[in-house]
Amino acid sequence: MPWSFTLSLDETTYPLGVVQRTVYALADRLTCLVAQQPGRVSLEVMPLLLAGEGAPSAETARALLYRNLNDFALRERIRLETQGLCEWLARTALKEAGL
Amino acid sequence: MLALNTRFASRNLTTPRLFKVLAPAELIARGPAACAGAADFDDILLWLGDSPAAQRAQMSTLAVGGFIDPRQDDLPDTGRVQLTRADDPEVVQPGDVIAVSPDTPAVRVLYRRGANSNLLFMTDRCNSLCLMCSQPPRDVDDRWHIEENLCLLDLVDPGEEHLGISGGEPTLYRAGLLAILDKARQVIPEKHLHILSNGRALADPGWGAELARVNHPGCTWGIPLYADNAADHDHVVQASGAFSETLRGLYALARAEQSVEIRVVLSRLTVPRLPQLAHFIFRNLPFVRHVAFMGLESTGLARKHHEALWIDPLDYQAPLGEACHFLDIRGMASSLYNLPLCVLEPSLAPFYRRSISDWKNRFIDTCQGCAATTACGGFFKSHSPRWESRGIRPLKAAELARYTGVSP
Amino acid sequence: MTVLLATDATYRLLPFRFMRLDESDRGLLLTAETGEYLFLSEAQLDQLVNRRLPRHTPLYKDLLARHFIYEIDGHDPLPEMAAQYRSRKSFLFGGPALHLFVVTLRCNHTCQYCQVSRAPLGGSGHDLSAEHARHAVDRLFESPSPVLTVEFQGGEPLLAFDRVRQIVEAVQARNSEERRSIRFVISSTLHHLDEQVLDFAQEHDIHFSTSLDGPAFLHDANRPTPERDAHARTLDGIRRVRERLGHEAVSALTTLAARSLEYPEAIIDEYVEQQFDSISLRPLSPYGFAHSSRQRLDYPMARYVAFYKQALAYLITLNGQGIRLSEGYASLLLTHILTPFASGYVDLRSPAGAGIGALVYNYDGGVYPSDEARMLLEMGEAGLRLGSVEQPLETLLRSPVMGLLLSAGIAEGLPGCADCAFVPYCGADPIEHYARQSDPVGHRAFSAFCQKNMALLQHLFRLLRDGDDLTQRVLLSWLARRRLADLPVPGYRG
Repeated sequence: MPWSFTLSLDETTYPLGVVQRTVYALADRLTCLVAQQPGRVSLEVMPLLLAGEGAPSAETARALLYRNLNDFALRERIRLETQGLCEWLARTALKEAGL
Repeated sequence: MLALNTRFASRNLTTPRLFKVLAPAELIARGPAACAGAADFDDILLWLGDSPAAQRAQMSTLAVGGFIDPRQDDLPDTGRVQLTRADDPEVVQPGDVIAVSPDTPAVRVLYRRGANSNLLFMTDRCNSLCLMCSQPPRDVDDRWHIEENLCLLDLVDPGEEHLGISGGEPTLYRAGLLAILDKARQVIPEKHLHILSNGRALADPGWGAELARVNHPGCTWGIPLYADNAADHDHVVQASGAFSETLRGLYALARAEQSVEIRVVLSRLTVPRLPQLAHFIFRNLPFVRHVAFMGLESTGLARKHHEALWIDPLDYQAPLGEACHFLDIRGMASSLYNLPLCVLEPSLAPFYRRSISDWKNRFIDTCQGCAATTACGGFFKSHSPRWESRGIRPLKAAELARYTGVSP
Repeated sequence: MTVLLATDATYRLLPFRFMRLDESDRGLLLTAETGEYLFLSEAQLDQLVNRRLPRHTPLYKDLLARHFIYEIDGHDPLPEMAAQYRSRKSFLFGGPALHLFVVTLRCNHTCQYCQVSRAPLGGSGHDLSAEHARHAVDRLFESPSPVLTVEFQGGEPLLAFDRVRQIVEAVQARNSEERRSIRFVISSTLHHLDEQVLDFAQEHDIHFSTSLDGPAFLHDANRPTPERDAHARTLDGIRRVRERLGHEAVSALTTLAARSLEYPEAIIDEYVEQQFDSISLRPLSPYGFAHSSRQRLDYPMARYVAFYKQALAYLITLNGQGIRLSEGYASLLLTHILTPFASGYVDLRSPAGAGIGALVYNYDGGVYPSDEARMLLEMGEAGLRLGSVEQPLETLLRSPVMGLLLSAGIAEGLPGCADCAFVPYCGADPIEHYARQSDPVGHRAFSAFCQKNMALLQHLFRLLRDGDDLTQRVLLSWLARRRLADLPVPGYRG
């Protein structure tokens, strides 16, 4: 019987977008159901059936999830703080070339 | 190591002017055609220094601008300019172009035939104040250098050579510098011009278009960059915003398809991040043709800043090696100047260049018996013990071979 | 979520990405939009984003110089960042530079992993017509690129040599006015070389690219011919080309079937034996081998990665012993990592190189955005055809197919890639994702393309970070295309 557990995450720390990116990144190992409640995002987690013997344990899954949630949250923070600079850079770089 | 000026006694000199010094044989063979540009007999000062007495009297009737004899003073006065009895009779030689004035006995050699480093001096003014500045700036209006240099271009020898353009900061007289580049292109296109500039003014709009319009076929800009970050660079040049301006100037030069060299003076301030600077140049300025790493010249403002600047070259061979090899592997040429050979890490030998200008080499007592004096750059004239590496020692022939790869 | 705005700090963040390599104090790889990189510890990353990084430290200056942070009221780094960015994306400015002409599908081989060459040797039903070839040459010169590569593919191009000759002559004639820099390459088994071909190749400075899958037992097993002598005849062809046109006139690449993965050293030894200075260890593509063969030939990408690491280690050892042999894919990844220059390789670009970097003129007069796209055709998938070779290039590149590919072809905007620290060095391959996952965007977690590039980039970054001096020198010798002996000192490792 494969394991499963549910995480209930504070939406301010882990907004929906961060959770979705985490789920996407771990899709080759975990199956996750994402649901939204007021102020919270819940994540029901199971091993990916296709992974068979290579699927992670519940403990490993928890560690993977928290690590990735935190990393994607940090990426989101960096993105917000640097919003617009990527586009500005690309536009400046390619404009000077006459594109 | 010969000086570029001395004093002469003069006669019949009424205005400041330039002269081309020619010996009789060359005058007869080529006349004013010995000069690269527009010149006539009046621009020529006939060299009588080696002529026997009988000839001297004869030649004093020739219709040239005047006569010069550094040792004697026995020419009949024909009303033409005469320069005689120099303090140092070796300073002025045939082929040289000199500047003279009735207001002073000083004679300046503006162009020395056969030198490897003739220089067009543009101005004493500068917009930076580098801690190690060897030519401390003066805030004067010295635009007259432009006109002098324009005249000089006509009188230099034709033929291939490298001419420097320097100061102070040459770009401070924009129209003047462009006029000189333009005239050089017309009169002496075969000579390669090397412009030493901090590049800060070059970001101003219009420089690029003007340089493209002049389109000199062989001109390189030597631009100093002392760090990969503004704080460190601006500190060395003592000018806030200089790093940003220099980078913008560098990009302006690249857009104008100019040939660019980066110069780095090696000091306690620049050595710690030398490899990082090499990385910065490669990533951000890949159009740079060459990087020149230069030993510190202990003259000018450097003397006041000994403690901040001095680092024994033995102690920076490692970062210097990291920087040079990093650039070399990535196809960017680099060279080392103004370092004595005995302190050099042998793996850096491929980058070592003997000297940047031949009027600066000398050797010290410790160098007695060294096998490498023809391969080594020696020391600056300004050298003193507190700027001397603890590693100075005479090399044996076998040690020299480690550098030259040639067995003794 | 509260965002700390840097109103009171002295520095601000520039856009960057990060990836965890390991738990060491240089275990976090940070990459900037310029492609510059740094290794940091967890604690240092934390200080960096929380504005607690002390100024005037070496790390602070490194982060400034490599464009991870900038100083408010300080130096504006945009000009130099734009210069690097422009340089990395400079392949955009020239238009399609690689033009493949599929002159025939006929071939004498029945390679296990190939689907395009089932056409019988006789007959011309699968040959490019003279008229289509003429149109294709017109298309070629509609590309603005000053540098062009004309590559002949098949089947076996030498079986339609008259067509090859016609195209080369037409291109050369037209180029006397156009004055582009043009290279010719024929991809061939070299089994059908004759004096006529060699004469022509010599006259027009044509180079050859051939398949050498390893020693005879591997090569012949992968590439059966009726006479079972594929390996011997290919070696003979290599020898003849070199004799006539020079040692550098022929290059070789391997295609790795499942069995090949057991023999990394043997394959490399074969290349050393045959005196090649470059080997390209590319995995199987998912295009078109018969379903029945898939079981036998195909393999999970993880197995390829394990093979590759072993092969790379062996190559480094051999290079250290004075043998000059570089690995092609590593060399181009190193160009992406260590320089601000684009490598020119069409299959690892963002925006993807299909169509805008390369064009394929198929034997049937159709134009395709890549070689893989026309292989998909043979699998029954005609969906990636840009149009007919008779249509002007501008029309072909405005095909809805290009729209589909480009909308899935910018890695910086793809899920998974957008956050990946390797995106400055990697690319998008909408056609491969379309072939494997039936969707040009593809899901990164299941993408063999991603798995391969990520594993290889991680491996190279670890070698760059931790490798000894010999490893550095070997990798740099490949990057610089110079002999190891000319690089006695690795220099600054950054």
